[in-house]
Amino acid sequence: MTTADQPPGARRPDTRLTPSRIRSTQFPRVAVGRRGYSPEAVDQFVRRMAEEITARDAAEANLRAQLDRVRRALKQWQTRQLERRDTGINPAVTPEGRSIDAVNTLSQAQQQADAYIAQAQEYCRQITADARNRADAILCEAQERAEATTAQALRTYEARQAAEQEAAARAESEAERPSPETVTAGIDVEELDRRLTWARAFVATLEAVEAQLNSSREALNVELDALDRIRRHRAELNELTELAQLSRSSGSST
Amino acid sequence: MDPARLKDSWKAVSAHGDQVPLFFYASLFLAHPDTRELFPASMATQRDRLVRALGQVITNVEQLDSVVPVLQQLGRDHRKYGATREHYPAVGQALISTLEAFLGEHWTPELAEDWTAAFTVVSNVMIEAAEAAEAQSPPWWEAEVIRHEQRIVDVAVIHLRPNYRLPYRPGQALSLETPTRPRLWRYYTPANMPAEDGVIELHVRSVDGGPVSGALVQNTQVGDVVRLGAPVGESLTLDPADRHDLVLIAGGTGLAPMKALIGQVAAEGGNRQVHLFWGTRWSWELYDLDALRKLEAEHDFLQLTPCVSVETTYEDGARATAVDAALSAGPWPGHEFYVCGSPAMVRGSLDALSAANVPDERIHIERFGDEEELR
Repeated sequence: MTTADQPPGARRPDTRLTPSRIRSTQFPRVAVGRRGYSPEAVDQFVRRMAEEITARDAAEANLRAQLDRVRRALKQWQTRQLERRDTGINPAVTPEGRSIDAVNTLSQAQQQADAYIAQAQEYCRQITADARNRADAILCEAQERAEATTAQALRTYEARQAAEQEAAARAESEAERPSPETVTAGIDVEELDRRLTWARAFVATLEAVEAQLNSSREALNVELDALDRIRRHRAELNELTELAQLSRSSGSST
Repeated sequence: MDPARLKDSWKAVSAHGDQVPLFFYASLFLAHPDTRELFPASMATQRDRLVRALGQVITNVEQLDSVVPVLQQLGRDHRKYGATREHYPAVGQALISTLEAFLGEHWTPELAEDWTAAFTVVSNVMIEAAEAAEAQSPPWWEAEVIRHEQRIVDVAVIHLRPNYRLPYRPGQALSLETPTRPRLWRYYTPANMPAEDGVIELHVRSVDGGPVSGALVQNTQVGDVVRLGAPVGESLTLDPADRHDLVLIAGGTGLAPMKALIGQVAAEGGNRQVHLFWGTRWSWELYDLDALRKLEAEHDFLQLTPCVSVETTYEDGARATAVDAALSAGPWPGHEFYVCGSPAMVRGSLDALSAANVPDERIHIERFGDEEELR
């Protein structure tokens, strides 16, 4: 607890709590998460204390003034007694006898003025501090809400993006297994394609086979020719052999 | 003079608390009604100050030399209240009456002599200091408001033209009195170097419930005349012979002395690097950003970092307190640190700086003597 203009920890033996010092005392705030007294209750109590001490000071001053008055009255009475005995004149009330009363009156007026001014300043301070704190709280709350809304919007957007991407991906993979209407047409086309390719390949094979057959036939022809020649040769050989036999047989007769 | 007797009597008297200065001022004003106008309507803080000053003198009565500088400053400052040497005996008389009233039977002629002797020494020191200052400067300057811009709800930038040249060093503070709040003086630091035309720029924040600052921000217009007291304070000034680079950490209107220091560096030729970290809670509270950006553009040696501590969407500077931004932009070996702002901000910044092992002798903050108040 420090007053507004005293360094913390300083101790002076002759400092007492005056109303001004009480009003300007600042209590340290309690740490976040710790429990403490309600600041409004403490402030209210402090204000009441300041007023009470002011009142008690005034009461004490009055008592002192009364005491002073009584003492002076006693002194005057004693002096008057002596003087009456001597001269029979009543001396005037000394102006000094009034002075402490006058001082007290002025002091009390000053205290009243101080109290009004302190009250007005405190009220003003409270209102502006309140307004400032409230404005700050509203701004912070608005800021938090804006952040939350932005985060939410971001999440929604990302979710939608993900969903769209998923849909697109699915669409792509479905494009490789076409849909029913296009299936038959697709099959037709593709089937025709396949068949065409097969047919072409078959034709090519046939041609190759034909070519091979042709060459085989030619080869065969050649062989056949050769065989033919050989047969003719054998036939000629046979004829010649028969002739020869005939001639041998006829020849012997000569 | 018996110091022990003085101290004992003071202890007995001060046990009565606030009643003693109440009595003192009341008897002073009764005996010398013309003195009442030298004081403000509410005397509460005044009473505190009187008791504290008297206590300080009595505690050190054996080595009065140690309190002489404080008393001299007090004497000089009293000129702006309109106190003259003729007032001092009246004050002495009121003091004696007060002590007599509270000590009762314990009041002896010897004690009266002791107190009179002590008071004479004090008042002589004060009067001499006042008269020495009289030869050099007026007790106060009248200054006309030539520009008043309420930049945000509770901050105004005010330009004043004093009637005479008011010399001061950048970083010093001037006390100010506004006629709508008579006899209440508050300190403000000029935000500019002493200029050719003598115009002084002040940054005033309306303190909650503060009579003077509130009046200055909300109820003051161009043409109003305020009073300025002599410059005080050496703790935020810059030694021209120094060549250290600077790290300036400012919160809110704590910007004012920093701006003045930047002006001084510029006038000296820009021979050192200056890094200014200016912090507020929200970005719209950066009430002087345009002027600072202009300064940054004009001067190579200056680097400005606006710091916003609460607003999370701030993009044009650091999103941290000024001191945190300064420390994370560090390290700053060999740099001198200047810190100015609200008391809470200064305390927090000092804690952060010492936690970062910045040596104390490199840190400069505003320090005022006991006898005057801040704002």
